[in-house]
Amino acid sequence: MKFFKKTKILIPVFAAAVFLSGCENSNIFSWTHAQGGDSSVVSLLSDGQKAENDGDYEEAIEYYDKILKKDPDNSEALYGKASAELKNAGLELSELVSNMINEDTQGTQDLISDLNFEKLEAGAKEAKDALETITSGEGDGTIPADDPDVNLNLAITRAIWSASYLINEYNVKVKDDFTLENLPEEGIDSDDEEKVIGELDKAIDNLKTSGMDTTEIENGFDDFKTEIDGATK
Amino acid sequence: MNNKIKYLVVTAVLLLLVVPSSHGTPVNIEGIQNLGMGGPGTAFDSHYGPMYNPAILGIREETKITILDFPVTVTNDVFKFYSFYSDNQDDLKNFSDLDSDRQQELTEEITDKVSKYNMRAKFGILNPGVMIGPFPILGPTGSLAWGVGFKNQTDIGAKMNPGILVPTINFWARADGVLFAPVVYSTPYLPWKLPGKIHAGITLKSIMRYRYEENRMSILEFENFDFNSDDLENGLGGGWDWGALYEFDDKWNFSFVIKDFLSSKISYSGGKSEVIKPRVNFGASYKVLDSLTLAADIRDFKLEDTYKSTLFTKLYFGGRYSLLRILNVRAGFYQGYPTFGVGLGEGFNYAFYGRELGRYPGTNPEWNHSISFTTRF
Repeated sequence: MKFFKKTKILIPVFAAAVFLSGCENSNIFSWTHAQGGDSSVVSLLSDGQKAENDGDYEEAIEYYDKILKKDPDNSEALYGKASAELKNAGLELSELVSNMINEDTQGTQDLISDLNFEKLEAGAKEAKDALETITSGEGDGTIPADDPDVNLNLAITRAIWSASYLINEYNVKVKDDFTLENLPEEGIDSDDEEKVIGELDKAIDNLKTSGMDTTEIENGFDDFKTEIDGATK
Repeated sequence: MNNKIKYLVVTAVLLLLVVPSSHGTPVNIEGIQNLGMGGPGTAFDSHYGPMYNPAILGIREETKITILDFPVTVTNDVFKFYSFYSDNQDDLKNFSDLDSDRQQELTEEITDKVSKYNMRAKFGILNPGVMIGPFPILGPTGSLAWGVGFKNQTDIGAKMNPGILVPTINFWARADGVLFAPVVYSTPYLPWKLPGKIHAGITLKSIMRYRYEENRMSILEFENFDFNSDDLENGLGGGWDWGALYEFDDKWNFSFVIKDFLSSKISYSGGKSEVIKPRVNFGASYKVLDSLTLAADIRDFKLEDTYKSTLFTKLYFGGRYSLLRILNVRAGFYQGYPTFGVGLGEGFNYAFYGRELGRYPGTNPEWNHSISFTTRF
């Protein structure tokens, strides 16, 4: 007890030290949980979301895949996987939007030229499959099939997949206004046309489900379809 | 206590420890004095003591009347947002006139930082209460303490999430009002010459709740969003807490509390209902000096947490130090995040604390500033 009486003065100092250590945003128990150390679904979901927030997209995909192996209908994992796949493919929408708002065509062009379209096509395909499981009603129902957020993202993912597919298959270029050029004079394969146009039609359906007025987008897609159609073998 | 009753009590407690996670959202009104010292409150007296453990009334030395109490809590992100806005308000108003570098800088700051802020505020008004006792109504066989009070808390906030490609928004508003009446019996001595005293009591609660929430709303939905007052649900319910406190000597206290014992139910006007499952809390406190108390609580303990890191998000511990009975300094760890608090007499209290929003310690912190003005005697 004498010790405490003698060290009375240290107590406010201790309190201040604790306060200052708090400014580091650190948790003294964060060491108690190793990422991936617990194989339960709730734990893997938490680890996946943390890895994604930290920008470790490959690690996040691993966690989501582990969940889906055990529980293929887990909607939260399907949603997380779609998100991590697209980010892992290098799609940073915030920078893209920032450039578009600023009409920074050079910045947009730089971003597009930095994209690895093979990786983007593969990532968009994985994301599309994951989100389709939810919107087709095959998920576990924690996210409803008509969820506006999921449908909106699926529509955009379909468009991204379609564009990257054409780019990879036919070396098509994307202009800074996001239209395509260099469509091959010899035309594109009719199977490919069916795939791409099929995706765009489904994207319109998803947009409608998300509550969006699709009139203008449908007109744009119609022009694109005509362009593709003209190039079809 | 005969053996059959003993087994019944032990079985009931074990069953409670393995009950599945709560479905309904418990009423969680915490005292700012407690928050400053890491959040414990079941084993020592504080302004909000009876909200943590009804048996706290048994260790009070006098009747306490709270006339007014105005607590306010805001997340640190609210201050960051205000700071961002006040630093950039001219540029934001004249965005189109800025050069492209500045426009890009602002846009990136909004998309990378501001959009991730967790904007949340909690506040209560009035919170009157009269807590009487302990009163030696039972003469040599024990004493009773009782009281009645009303606490309320409105919790409103919004948080933007990065989403898959398009950000989403969560926003919520929940107002809880609790009319509560604790009754506590204290024994003057224990059988078998055991040292100390036992205080045991219950708190009867009448709960009023208004709630409104939208989760993962896409930007498109938000643009077309129109608040419909029919979506604001209002409910009424009730339940009770059970608590015991073992006052081992004038330094050590040990507590055991079952919140929402046998579940509390809130029924909403639309026919929906919410069941708040029981939670087991326990704690200890140690009075090092008259002016220095250390305390620790474990809240919502379940056997499944044993040896798991989730247990550490249920730990609340710290200390308070009183200087000349006027200035109170507090510090501790709330779910592992450091806390700091200061109080001036009975009237003013401030706390800074971190709260874990994720499943594991360190996953998703929410930093808060709380302040309260109280008239109490």
